[in-house]
Amino acid sequence: MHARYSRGLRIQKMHFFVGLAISLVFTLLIAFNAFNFWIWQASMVEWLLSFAGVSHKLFISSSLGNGPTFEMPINFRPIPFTTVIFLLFILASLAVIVNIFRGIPPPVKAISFVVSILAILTLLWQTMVSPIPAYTLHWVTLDWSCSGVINLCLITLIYVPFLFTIKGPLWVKVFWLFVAIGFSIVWNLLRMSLVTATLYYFGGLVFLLFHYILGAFIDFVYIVAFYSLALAHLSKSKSSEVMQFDP
Amino acid sequence: MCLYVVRHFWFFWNRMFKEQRRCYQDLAGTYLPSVSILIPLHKEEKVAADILERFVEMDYPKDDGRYEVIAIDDGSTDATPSIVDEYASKFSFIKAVHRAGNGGNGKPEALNVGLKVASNEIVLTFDADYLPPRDCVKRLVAPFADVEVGGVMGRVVPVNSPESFVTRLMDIERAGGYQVNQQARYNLDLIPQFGGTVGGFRRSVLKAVGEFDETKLAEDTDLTYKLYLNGSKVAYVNAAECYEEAVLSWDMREKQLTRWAIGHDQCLFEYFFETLKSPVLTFWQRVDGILLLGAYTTPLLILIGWLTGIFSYIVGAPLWYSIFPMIFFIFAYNSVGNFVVFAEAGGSLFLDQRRRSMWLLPLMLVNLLANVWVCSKAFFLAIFLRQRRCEKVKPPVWAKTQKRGVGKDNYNKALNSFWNNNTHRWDKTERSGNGMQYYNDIKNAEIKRNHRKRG
Repeated sequence: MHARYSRGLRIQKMHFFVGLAISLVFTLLIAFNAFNFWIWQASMVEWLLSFAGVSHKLFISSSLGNGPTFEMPINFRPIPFTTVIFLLFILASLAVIVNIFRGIPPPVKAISFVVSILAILTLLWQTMVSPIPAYTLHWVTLDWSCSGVINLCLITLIYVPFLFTIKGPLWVKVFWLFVAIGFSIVWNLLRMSLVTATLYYFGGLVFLLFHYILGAFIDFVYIVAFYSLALAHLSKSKSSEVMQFDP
Repeated sequence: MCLYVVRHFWFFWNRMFKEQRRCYQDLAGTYLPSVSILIPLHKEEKVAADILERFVEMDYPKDDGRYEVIAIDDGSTDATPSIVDEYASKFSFIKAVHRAGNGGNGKPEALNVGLKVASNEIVLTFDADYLPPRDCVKRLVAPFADVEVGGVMGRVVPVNSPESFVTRLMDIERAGGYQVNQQARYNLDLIPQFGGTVGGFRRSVLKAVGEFDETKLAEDTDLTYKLYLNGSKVAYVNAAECYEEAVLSWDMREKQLTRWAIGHDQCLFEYFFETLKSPVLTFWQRVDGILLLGAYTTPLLILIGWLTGIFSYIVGAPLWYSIFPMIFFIFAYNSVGNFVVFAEAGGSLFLDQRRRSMWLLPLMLVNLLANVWVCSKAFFLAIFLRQRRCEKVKPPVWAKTQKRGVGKDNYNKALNSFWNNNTHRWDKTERSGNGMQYYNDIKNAEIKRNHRKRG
C-alpha cells in the first residue's frame, strides 16, 4: 500500500535560529511596549463597543499595573437566593441528564460538565461566599491576563521548535507565523469587545462564562489550526521531494 | 503534567530529527521461523472471512507446519463458526477452535485457549477486524532473531478513515501514537508497548511469566510489563503495517476507550511500585514505564487543571495581578502542554505525507474532550473494581467498631448494580465489515497510480 516514511528528517538548524531570533525580538517588543499595545487595543475595542451600542467611558492610567479600563453603566442587582437555588437545581439536573444518556457523544458531555461546574461555582461563590452588592457601574481592564499578549509570545515560542525545525522553505514558516500572530491580534480585539458587550447586555454570569471559554479554549484551537495549515503547506512544497522512502 | 509535556516533546524531536532504528527489517524474508497466529473471533461474521483470506494470501512458507493460523471461535452465535470451519476444511494450515457454551468472556481467555493449541514458539495475535498485507508476518517475526526480544508490535493503520467523523479522528490519533510515539520509544530504548494485535511474543517467555491475565481488561499492557520486568524487550516494527477497521461512532468509541482505560489503570495499580523499583530496567525505562502506566490518568489531570483554572478564575482575580508568572504558567500549560500532543500527531501526518488529514488536526480537540470525559470516569471505575477485588481476597481483620452492617450491604448492592450496568464485562466492539471495501479501494487506486506513472 503506501510507502510511508520511516526515517528521520534533517533538522533545519538555520531556520530554527531565525525563528528563535524572531521569537526573541517579538517577545522583547511586547515586553517593552505592552502598555502602548494595550492603549492601541483599547482604542480599537472602544470603537467596536460604540459600534455595538455599548455605552462606556475609557480611562487610561499612567501606571503599568493598571491597564486601560472601560467603565460601563450596568444596573446590577444580586440574584435572589431562591432563584439561585432554582438555577443550581436546573444546572445540576442538566449535567446529570447529559451524563445518563448514552446517545450524547462524550465531547458534549465533557463540555456540559465543565460549563455546569463553572456556572454552579460562580453562582455559589457570588451568593454564599462573596455576595456582590448592587451597583450601577462596572469596570473591565485590559491587562496581562486578558489582553492576549501572553498568547502572542506563546505562538512564537511554540512555532520555533515545532515548525521552524521541519524541512521546508523559510518563507512558508515565517508567513504562517505572522498569519497566526495577525489572527491572534484581531481575535483578541473581537474577543475583548464581545465579552465586554456581553457584560453590558447579559450581566456578570454570562460574562464570566464567555470570558473563560473564549479565552482558555478558543485561543488554543486557532494556534493548532494555523500550525496544521503551515504543516500542510510545508508538505505540499518542494521539501517532500528530497524525502527518502523506505523500499 | 510537565513531565508528560517534556516526554512528548522529546518523542516528537527524536522521531522527527534523530536516527531511526529499523528493527531488524534487513532480516525480513530471510529469517523465517515457525509461527502460530492466533485470531480470536467472537460474533465476527462480517469480517471473519476477510481476515482468514488475508492469511491464506500471506507471503510466508506454509510447509511442514511452519505456519499455522488458529481461528478461535469464542462462543459465537452467528455465522462465525461455519466460516471458520469452511476455511479450516479448505486449508491445512488453518485450525478451528470452538468454545461453544463457555466462550465470550473476553479476549484474554480466548487467547489462552488458542495458546494451548498452538505448536510453535513464535506466536502472533491479530484482532478479527484487521487486514494484514502480504509481508506483515515476515516483518513481524524478523526481530525474534534477537534472543533479547520477547515481544513485537507492528503499526496499526485505520483503513476506513473516510467512513465517519470519528474514524477520521481515530486515524489521526493512531498515526501519532504509532508513527511518532511508539517509534520514538523504540529508538530511545524505552518501553514500546505490545498492543495485543498486530504483534506477537515468544511462547516460552509468556509461559515463564504465566499466561494472559483473564481478570485484566488490557491484557496487552499487562503482558508488556510482565515482559519488561522479567528482562525481555518489546520491538516496534514501524514497517509492519496492518489495516484495521476503526470504530464508527462515539458510542462504540466510548465503550472501547473505557475498556482500554480501565485495563490500563488496573496495570497502573499493579505495576507502579514494581516498575519503580525494578533492577532490570534502566533509569529512563523506569521513568517511561511509570509515565506510560499513568497515560490514561492524564485526561483526569487535564480535567482537574480545567476545574482548578475555573476556581482560580472565579476566586482569585485580584491575586492574578501580582502573580504574573503563575498566569504565564497556566497559559503555557493550556497551550503548549496540550499543544505538544497535537504537534506529535501533526508530525506523524507530515512524515506520512498526508496533507489533507493535517487540516483536520484542530478537530482533535473534540477527541481530547472525549478522552477527558471517558478516561476520567474510567479511572474511578478502575478504583471501584480494584476495591471490590481486594475485599474478596483480603477481608479486613482489625477489631472494628461494631455496626449494623446495613451500609455495607447497600454499598455492595449499589456497587453490584453499578457494575452490572457498566463496563465490568468485556464490552465487545461492533464491526461494520466495510474495511475490506476500503482496503480494495486503496489498492485499486494505487494500481491505477502505478500504471499512470509507468505509461
